[in-house]
Amino acid sequence: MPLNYTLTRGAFMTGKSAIVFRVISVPLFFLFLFLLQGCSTLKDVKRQSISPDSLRALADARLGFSNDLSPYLKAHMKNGSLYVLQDWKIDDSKKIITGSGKKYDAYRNLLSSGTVEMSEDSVAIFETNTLVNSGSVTALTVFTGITAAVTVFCIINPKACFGSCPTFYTRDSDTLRLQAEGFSSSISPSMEATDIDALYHSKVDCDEYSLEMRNEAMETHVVRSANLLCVEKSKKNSRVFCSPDGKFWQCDSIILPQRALGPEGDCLSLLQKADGIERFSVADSANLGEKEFIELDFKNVPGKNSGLILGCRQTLLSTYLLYQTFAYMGSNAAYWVAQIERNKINVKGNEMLNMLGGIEVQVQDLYGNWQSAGFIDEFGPLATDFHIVPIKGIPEKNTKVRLKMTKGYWRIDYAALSPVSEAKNLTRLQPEEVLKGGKTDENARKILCDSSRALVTLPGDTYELKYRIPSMFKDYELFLESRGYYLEWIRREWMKEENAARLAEILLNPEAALKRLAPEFKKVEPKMESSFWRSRYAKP
Amino acid sequence: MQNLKNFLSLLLFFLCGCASFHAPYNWLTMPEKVAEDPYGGWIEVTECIPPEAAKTEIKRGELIAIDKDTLYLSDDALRAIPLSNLRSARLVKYYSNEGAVGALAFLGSLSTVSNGFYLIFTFPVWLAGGNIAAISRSFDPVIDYPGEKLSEFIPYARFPQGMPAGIDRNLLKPKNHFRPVVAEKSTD
Repeated sequence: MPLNYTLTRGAFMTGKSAIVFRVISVPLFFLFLFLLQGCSTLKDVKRQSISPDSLRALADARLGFSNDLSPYLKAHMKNGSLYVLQDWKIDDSKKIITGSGKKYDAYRNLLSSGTVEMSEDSVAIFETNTLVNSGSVTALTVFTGITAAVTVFCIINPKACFGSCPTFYTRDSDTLRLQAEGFSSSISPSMEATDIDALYHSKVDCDEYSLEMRNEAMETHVVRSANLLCVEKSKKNSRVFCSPDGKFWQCDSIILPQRALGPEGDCLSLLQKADGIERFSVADSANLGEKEFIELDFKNVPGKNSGLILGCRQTLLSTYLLYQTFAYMGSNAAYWVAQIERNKINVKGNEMLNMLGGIEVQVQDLYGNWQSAGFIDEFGPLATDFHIVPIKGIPEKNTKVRLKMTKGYWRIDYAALSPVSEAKNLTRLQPEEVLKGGKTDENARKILCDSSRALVTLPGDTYELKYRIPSMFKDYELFLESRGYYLEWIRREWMKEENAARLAEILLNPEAALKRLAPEFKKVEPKMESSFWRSRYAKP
Repeated sequence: MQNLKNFLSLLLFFLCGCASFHAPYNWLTMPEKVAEDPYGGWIEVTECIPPEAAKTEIKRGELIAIDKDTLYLSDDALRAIPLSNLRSARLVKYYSNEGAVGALAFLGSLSTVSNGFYLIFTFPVWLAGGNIAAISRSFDPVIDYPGEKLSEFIPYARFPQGMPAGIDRNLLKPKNHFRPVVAEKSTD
């Protein structure tokens, strides 16, 4: 598929025509709303026939005769004539009904209009007609509501649309749990990469393991492989974590922090359990690159070789900046991505990414100085991933660790320390079976098992990947090893922000860009998380 | 090309799905005027012509009354149809104006251009849902026999109390705007 087509296929139009199109389309939608208002005249009629004996009781109850929806009472006389009454009353003593309206004979000649009077005994049957809303108009109103919600959403928050790589879920009883997101930073073919994600919450209680791989964003995903890594645990209760260099580490005795202190004060309770309740801060209102620290105190850490375990994910600041960059590229996004492909722009070495950085793990040495032990810089705002940063020569009794990171850029769910030893026994499993729509898709399985080919998925695609767990080890820690890249579809809403000067600022003077974008981001930051998750794409 | 054919077939299916009847132009009353209208609803009946059960005749006009054993309708003159000969009937209570729903559905489909990428979801919803809404609207004022009981028709007759005694049936005039329709004859 041509890259240019893929990148712009969702835009339909580009440049000035896109702006003109937008200028027309939104007023058109509100014109439609106005017309739908007029559609309220499309009513259904419910007719009720009432015997003369029942009229008095109904009149007492008023039954809505006098209301706007049923303003008329028809009196069909025994001789075939008809009274159509607007206001009417019953004279009990004389058994006479009087009111204002029209009188027709049986042949429907109009005999009189104005005040009319009739004897109750001469009426054969009364009739009322009530107007009710038509179900069709209700259906149109519902459709309009959906369209309006999407329109308003796209107008006010075009950069909060769900995005970022394939998502992997496991089924836990009746619920799906998001376990991992694959190769989040691989936004073009040249950036194809292998990503290892801990399936921290997975349980292996039989010889089969299933993952659901979804494309929930307006993106084209190119998945080269999705393998399961099974790493042997040394003890049943120990855990295995992966460090940024791709090594696996056994953690036999996990030590939780005794104290956790961020700029906001104590945050210990948020970091002691991997329960999804995360510690995060908001971005700085003047500079998106502003840093913050969290200090962690550990006591009685056995052994000098330890590792800091962190469960974390990015906030949507990263997504915002990526989409903003695409917005500045606008109709020329394909050109700029092609430049990345030709290595004329080094995204990995992008100064802005460097300024935002990962989470730097620092350890206080015996002299009170903070020494850098390593970084966690995995991209992705969706699934919490678990990493370990090995630390050598750690003070044993009172260990102080500090996390340095950009304000409002990271969400941390879990922090712990553990003595580590390298895990050696690892088995890599390819999918044994692949299902799409509940049916076996052998072709997709063959593609995922052939490194020279790649499975291309579009928004709404879902594959179930089944793996056969070997019985050679007693207990496993599972990891997902995915490889591929993805292509963002440029949203039409972004086109209006095309701005080469702003793009140049991001690429050449990111420090200034982070300061200039800060107030813009602060406007959308509070609602960005909820908007983002609501905008996941699922096939209807 | 095959996709285009499928789409056109689907569109044709939707367009053919609306309730059909042959009331003269402007004969049917708007819903909000039904309460003032002194006339009955529009009816189309298929009557068996004895002694051949297969031979049928279609009659159309204003529903005048339904008695114990006879249905009366008026076109250019009053017609009495024995209920025992009645094979099917369709009553139309008012003008449904399903074309307005169709037009709104069309505009609604166009309005999805304001949805950007999500148009690929909202446009088909409008296209299919809007057509279904228009079809549904066309059936709002319709009562069909034998699907519904004939007693459901009675309130919408000019004389819901039944044909009044002593009325001169030759003087019953058809409703305004009514142009007589020649009864069609057919054999199954």
